[in-house]
Amino acid sequence: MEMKESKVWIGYKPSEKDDVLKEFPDEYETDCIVIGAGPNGLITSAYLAKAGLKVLVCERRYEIGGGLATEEILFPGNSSNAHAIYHMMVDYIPAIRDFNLEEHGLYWIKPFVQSAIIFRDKSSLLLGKMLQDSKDSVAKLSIDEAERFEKIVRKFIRFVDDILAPATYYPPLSPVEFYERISSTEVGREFLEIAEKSAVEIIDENFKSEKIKAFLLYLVGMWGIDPEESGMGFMVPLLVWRCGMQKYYCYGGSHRFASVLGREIVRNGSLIIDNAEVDEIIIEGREAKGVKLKDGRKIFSKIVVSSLPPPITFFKLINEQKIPKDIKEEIDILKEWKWDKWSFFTFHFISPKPPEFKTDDKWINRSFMTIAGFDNFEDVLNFFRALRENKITKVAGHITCQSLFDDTLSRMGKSVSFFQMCAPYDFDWKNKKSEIEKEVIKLLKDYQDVVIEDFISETPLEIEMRIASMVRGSIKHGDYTPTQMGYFRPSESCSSSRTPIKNLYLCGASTYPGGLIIGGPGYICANVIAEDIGLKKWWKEPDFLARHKKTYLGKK
Amino acid sequence: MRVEKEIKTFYPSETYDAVIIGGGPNGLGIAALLGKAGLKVCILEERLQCGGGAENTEPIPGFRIDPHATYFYAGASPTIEILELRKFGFRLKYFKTLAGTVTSDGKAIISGRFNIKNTIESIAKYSKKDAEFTKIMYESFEPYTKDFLRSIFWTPPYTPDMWSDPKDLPWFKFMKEKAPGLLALFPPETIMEMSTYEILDTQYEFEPLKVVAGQGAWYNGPFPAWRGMGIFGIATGLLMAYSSSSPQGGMHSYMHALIRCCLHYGVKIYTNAKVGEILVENGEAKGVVLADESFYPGKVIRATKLVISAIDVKQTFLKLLKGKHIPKPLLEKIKDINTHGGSLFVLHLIVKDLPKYKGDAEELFFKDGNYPTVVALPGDSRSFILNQARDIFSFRTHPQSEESMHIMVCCHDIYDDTRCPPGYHVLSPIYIQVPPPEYHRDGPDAVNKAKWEIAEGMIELLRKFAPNMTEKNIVAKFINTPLDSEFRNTGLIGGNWYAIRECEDQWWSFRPIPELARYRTPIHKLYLCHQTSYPGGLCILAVPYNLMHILIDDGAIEKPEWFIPSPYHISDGEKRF
Repeated sequence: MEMKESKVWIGYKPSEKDDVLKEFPDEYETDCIVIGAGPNGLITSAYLAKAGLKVLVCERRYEIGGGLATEEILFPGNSSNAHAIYHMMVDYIPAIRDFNLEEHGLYWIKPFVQSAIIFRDKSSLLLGKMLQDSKDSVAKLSIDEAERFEKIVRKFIRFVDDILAPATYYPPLSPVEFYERISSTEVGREFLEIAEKSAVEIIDENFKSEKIKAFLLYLVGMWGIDPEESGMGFMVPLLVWRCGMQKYYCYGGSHRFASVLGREIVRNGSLIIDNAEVDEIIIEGREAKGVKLKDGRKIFSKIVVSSLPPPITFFKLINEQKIPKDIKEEIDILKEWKWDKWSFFTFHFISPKPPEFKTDDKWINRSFMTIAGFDNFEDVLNFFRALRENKITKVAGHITCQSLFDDTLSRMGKSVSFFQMCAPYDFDWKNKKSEIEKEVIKLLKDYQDVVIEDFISETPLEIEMRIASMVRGSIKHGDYTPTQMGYFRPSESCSSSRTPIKNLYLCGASTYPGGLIIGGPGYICANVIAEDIGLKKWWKEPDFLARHKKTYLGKK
Repeated sequence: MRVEKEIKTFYPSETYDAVIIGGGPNGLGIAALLGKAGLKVCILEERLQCGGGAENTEPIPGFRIDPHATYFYAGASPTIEILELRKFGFRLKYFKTLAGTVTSDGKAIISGRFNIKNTIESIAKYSKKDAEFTKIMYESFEPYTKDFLRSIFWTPPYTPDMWSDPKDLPWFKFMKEKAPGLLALFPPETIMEMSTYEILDTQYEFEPLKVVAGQGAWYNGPFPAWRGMGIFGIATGLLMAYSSSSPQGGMHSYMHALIRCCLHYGVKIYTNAKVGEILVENGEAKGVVLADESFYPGKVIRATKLVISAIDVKQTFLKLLKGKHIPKPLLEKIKDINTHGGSLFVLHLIVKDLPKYKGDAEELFFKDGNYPTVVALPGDSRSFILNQARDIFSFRTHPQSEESMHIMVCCHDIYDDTRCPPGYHVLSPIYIQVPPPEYHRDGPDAVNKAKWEIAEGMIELLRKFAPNMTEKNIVAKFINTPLDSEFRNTGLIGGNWYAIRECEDQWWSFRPIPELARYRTPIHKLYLCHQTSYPGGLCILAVPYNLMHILIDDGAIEKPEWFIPSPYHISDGEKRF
């Protein structure tokens, strides 16, 4: 069967005279279209919908949520969080506070043991949600190291609370202004000092022991941040404190978060349509007027919000000829967009009971995330260096048994876990996938008492297949590198959600401040749109944000 | 500063007008209707998501399979019209050609409501008589199909004392008025007694045509050789043919539209909310208690007006009511409700090329949008179906020999490009029937143990007819057995889709048992709304629609202005609220 032929049949429509049910119409008008029902698309929509705007969210897939995907990939009967699972900003995300999401049964679990690492010699370190537990573990190395550890982490907490977390939820300042404002306090000046550094520099300067250095380095690098790149130091406090020690699990699976946001949207009179891939953003003159779907439907609106990365929004969905000449240059900069340096290879597996680690600390069996396969700092560094060159030098990564926190995932009473490792997109997956799978099984058996009953692995190619906006498996919609961060994410002219095209806004992970389910871009975009069209904000600024603004953004 | 997300504790109990147990199609349907009628409604769903058997999943990203429900039967449903599902994004993909079959000697026919010319031509090649009759049937009866189907499925069943012979039945009255000629083909005394095959035999001569229609009947409910179910076997086939479509993206997107409709009308939906017990005080249902496995163990959800069980009748009485509150003889009757109608063994194949069937099909299927979304194999003779049923029903085992291998091969992506990436096809589902786990002679997990063997047998049969189905062409295989299905979805009892056997003793006035036929239970304020009630499953939203009549009769709700009742409804009893 040739595809050409079968395409003729797709989109077959019975004639008018046939007595068929009425469906969602081929042409539709609404106030606002949001392209993509990922976390940010949903957050933007939920705020605007509750503010009275009629929003239509178009989702390409059959389920909403984007990276908030809990799916039955271990078919039949065992679901796994196929994508996002570690939610590091639950304590801050304004949407979680502003909407009464518990009302729909959304619950968050902050595991007691947050992260752990087990070395080849079966010695281990762990980070708990309580700082003293983490310190106790580091004290296994030396009491001095533990003191240093506590001191630096306390600093990180200040950076996050005072600067990083609040800055996640308002539009970026220009670099000059940011420097000026932030340097007005002692904490700010200290923060700026480390922000300029690379992760390796920060870790090297503050710690002596190989083991804790290896641990922290992995926590930063696993998210695709080059640990040797200067100017990325500002991510270290966030990733070490929030992602290392303060992350949450979404009970019922990450998809639940998307699902309850979706309910808020529909409840407030807006609509989500699924299996509705956007083919084109309709541009007339300098304005966005609506979208055309792949199945031929046309939807018109006053505002179009795209949660997709800029290369897709501007060069795939917009006909280049339609972009006015004077703004073309600003937009063309985005052609240089860099995708994530590396992505993930994930090996999902089921076992009759939760796997047990062979290690010196039993608490690790309760850990949300356990790193295995590394020996020392150098080892981790070389692993990331090799990834830069699209090489996998060893199989090592982190393991999570999701069933420890969520008995709803398996309908069959099994334990659902995964092993995940950073992996390049450009790799001979076709031929080497099964080889890597074998290595993973060997590693798991090495570190755990586990009976693997079934497994399925997903390479960066599958990530791209599932979520098309994650081009080349880019879980963050684009690399975290100083030229694509902060004020420059995705570009100077598209920063703060607005674009040079009138009524076209951006709200995805490629927009400031970025991805990893921090809910920033969606919240900022909703605020920006509300301000632009004079919509009354029904929501109140969170306290932590108000406090930050008072300290740093007040009159000079 | 330490920040920590607090877990908000709500009151341990909540109160609604109506509490619905189970978020499958029927639970969502009744919730939407009651919500639209202004009631404060809450749905409690055991699983991660609502939708019941109307679900889709992607075991490999981008490749969507249909574990259970796969075709849209509800084209004639008044419920979808009333609820205006289109406003909530409801969208269909129509099939130009619905069904087809191929025989081992190379004959092939197709059938499609929207492709009637080619359908008739394909039949005419082998039987001028059958082609002529098909044409007459289509031309004369097509305009009446919708109302005919409504008279059968979207009418609350009569109690046994409301009718004495077929002439009292809604569909008979309808036929007599609109298609007396057609009705005259069968004497009224015998038509009720006939099986699907017997009805087909009186009018058609070409066996493959009858194989497709008969298999259609079985997969839609009644086994084609069961007497007394002939007219319903034909009618379920018509349900499928009338709609000739599937929701864009798969059955689950239909449920999404229904969920959005519920939310729009203020319905509260809880997932991971397994109900442990129905609260009954003084013979009156007062609410439910959530089970220990739920997100809020022991939480009490009270209902001031209605508790509606949208899970099967057996679990409702045996588990949630713990066998209490009803007379023992009635309980025994409920225990004996028969689920033995054949359960679905489902194979899913991801392939590079569509099956290229040998013989006439090679030319027929690949022109003019003739490729059928469902192919019955083999089309040679009904004996394969009868033998399969004998293995299942009589010997209580899965198909044992080549003579009992008969499969149904479905493919949706030829009409719906959202189902898989270009360059591939998803043959999902491929069905064969096996016994429900509780009836298998070798124990409940016998089919699970033999699953790859059974699957290989199915692929072998497919390969016999379509030699291009080589191992090289097949990219991936997935299976769900009846036991798996039951685990995944407790409402699919026995891993089947019609819940309890659709034979004359469990149909119309007698479904699931006469005492419960009109959705009422001996417990005041507790009603049934599941496919174990009339008219069974297929996601046609008939049970909720029919239940609305009863709720209005009983005075539980006022008749809403927008509600269009069935013209054939006969009310009984007096107001109970």
